[in-house]
Amino acid sequence: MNIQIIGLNHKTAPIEVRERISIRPETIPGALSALKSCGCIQEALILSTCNRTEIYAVAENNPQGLISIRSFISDFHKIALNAFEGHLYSFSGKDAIRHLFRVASSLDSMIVGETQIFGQVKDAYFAARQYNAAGRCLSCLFEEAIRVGKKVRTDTQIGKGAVSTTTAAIELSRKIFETLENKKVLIIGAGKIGELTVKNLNSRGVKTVMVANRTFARAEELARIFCGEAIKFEGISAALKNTDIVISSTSAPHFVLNKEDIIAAMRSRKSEPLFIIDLGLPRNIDPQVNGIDNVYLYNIDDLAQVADANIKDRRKEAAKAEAIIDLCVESAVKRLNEINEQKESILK
Amino acid sequence: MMPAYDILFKSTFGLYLLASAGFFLFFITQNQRIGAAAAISGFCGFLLHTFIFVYRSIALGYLAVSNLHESLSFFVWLVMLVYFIAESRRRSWAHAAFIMPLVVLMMGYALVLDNMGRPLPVALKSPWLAIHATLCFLSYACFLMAFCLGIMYLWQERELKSRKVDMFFFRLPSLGLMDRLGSRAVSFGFVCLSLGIISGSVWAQQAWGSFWSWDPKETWSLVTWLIYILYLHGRFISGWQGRKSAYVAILGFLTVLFTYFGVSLLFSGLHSYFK
Repeated sequence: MNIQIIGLNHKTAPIEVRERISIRPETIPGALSALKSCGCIQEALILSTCNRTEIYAVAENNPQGLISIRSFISDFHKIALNAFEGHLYSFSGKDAIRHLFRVASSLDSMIVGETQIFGQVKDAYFAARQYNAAGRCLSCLFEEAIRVGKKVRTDTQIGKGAVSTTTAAIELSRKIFETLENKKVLIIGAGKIGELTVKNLNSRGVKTVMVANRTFARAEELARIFCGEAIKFEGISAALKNTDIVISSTSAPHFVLNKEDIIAAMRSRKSEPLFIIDLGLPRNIDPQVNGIDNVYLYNIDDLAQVADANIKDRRKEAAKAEAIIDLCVESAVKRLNEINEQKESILK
Repeated sequence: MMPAYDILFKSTFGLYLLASAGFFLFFITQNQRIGAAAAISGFCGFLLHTFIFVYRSIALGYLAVSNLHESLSFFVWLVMLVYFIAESRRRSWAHAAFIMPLVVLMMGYALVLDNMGRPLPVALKSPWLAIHATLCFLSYACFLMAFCLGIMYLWQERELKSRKVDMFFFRLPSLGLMDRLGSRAVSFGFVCLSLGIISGSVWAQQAWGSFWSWDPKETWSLVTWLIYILYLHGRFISGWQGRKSAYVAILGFLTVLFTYFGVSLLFSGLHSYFK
């Protein structure tokens, strides 16, 4: 009796292969029963996300189990074995346990520390339980994996810190302002990244959005998307009085806002903090603005730097997580051996 | 006093020391379990502290603030009280990493001081003692909070301005929150200090026959009061929020420290019972 995994993920397979092998949620019941109908497979579970498809099985005989799973994939998707075989990895026994724990802890993810995979592992387990495909061994293993995933999340900082420029902008604004609710955003220039950042801010409770653009029609168009207000380009300085966050992404060859503009604005707003995100290239806002009290200016490189620093931190935390997993694997192996022995004694 | 008091006071100190170390570790590792353990240790220390302070006051028959040991103990007790009230809703504990070392320092100082309760001078035997001392020390406790918040604010601000995410970024709350809490602490402390000075002066009239006698303690209290006036004025009239406010809050607390320790140790005056 052994635990086995066959699968592929973003590291071993390109998207063209992943999308063909992936098993959609509605087809999972059928796939599970097909797997269980292979004589040598006692328990089965399917974990299929956009970055990975993995089949977990408890099989009697080592090589026979792996062959059955492989031919199941080929049959199920009606794809020749050699079209995907090169992208597959397989684990068994202790390595399989470790692999699952790493997946559940988001160490094997494309963005290490992302939180989605934990829920996906849970869902896969619940589905397998629901269709009676997961028995004692897989249940024990997955419940342990869920515990490990939680432990890693609470005991390490693996999920902390924004790792993209847009989320870095959000995170910074949350370090400046106590709350983003009722904060006002001014977008200068109708660029794509600017739009994306505002969307993100909007989802965090930012209510009022003002849009300024050289061509007023485009400003109005964008303002409509965010239920905001379009303002004239000349009105920017006046609008700063009531703004908390400025996102600028124009392609203007010179500064749109210089130091004097901001000093005047800060005076009119009684030094209320102002967060300025300059996504323009060349830069839209005089870098000296950062020297003014209560003004925080970040350009695209600064945001990238924040994200990079966070990625590095996550790597450090990943090392801690591996150590936690090492300990958990040992105890999981012991428990699974106990279950196996019990089963065998019943069979005898 | 009695040997039991000594042991209990040392235990309180030990619990605070443990909490301080725990909060420091929590600050570095951000491990919630360490934070919770430190909070429990701090809270147990606070309960024990409450017990010995109340016990001592009952045994003496007046609020136990008649020498430096007792007043330090009372001050620390109020700091803990204010901290737990302020943190009861948020439980972020980032704050505690800054407050607890000060608490431990003051408790340690109280520990080496003579803790014998001497008979209270006749002039001090009055219900005003409790009112005056509580108001003044409560204001000091609030100013200590604002001092710590000011330091935290400046650190976080420096990091955000330098655009390099480092040590403090994840560990400290938002600038907006620290600024608001700091201003609230100063406002509340200011009210307490004002009432404390007024109550002291009413009491002085009764005990010494004059409302104000330019005793060093009185003078320095006035200086402290003026600095916090500057804080409130700057903040609510001139838009000094953020960095400038934080600097004034830090300066204000340094004056408080001088009023409390410096004046008692350097000058002799009407308040020199504290020696």
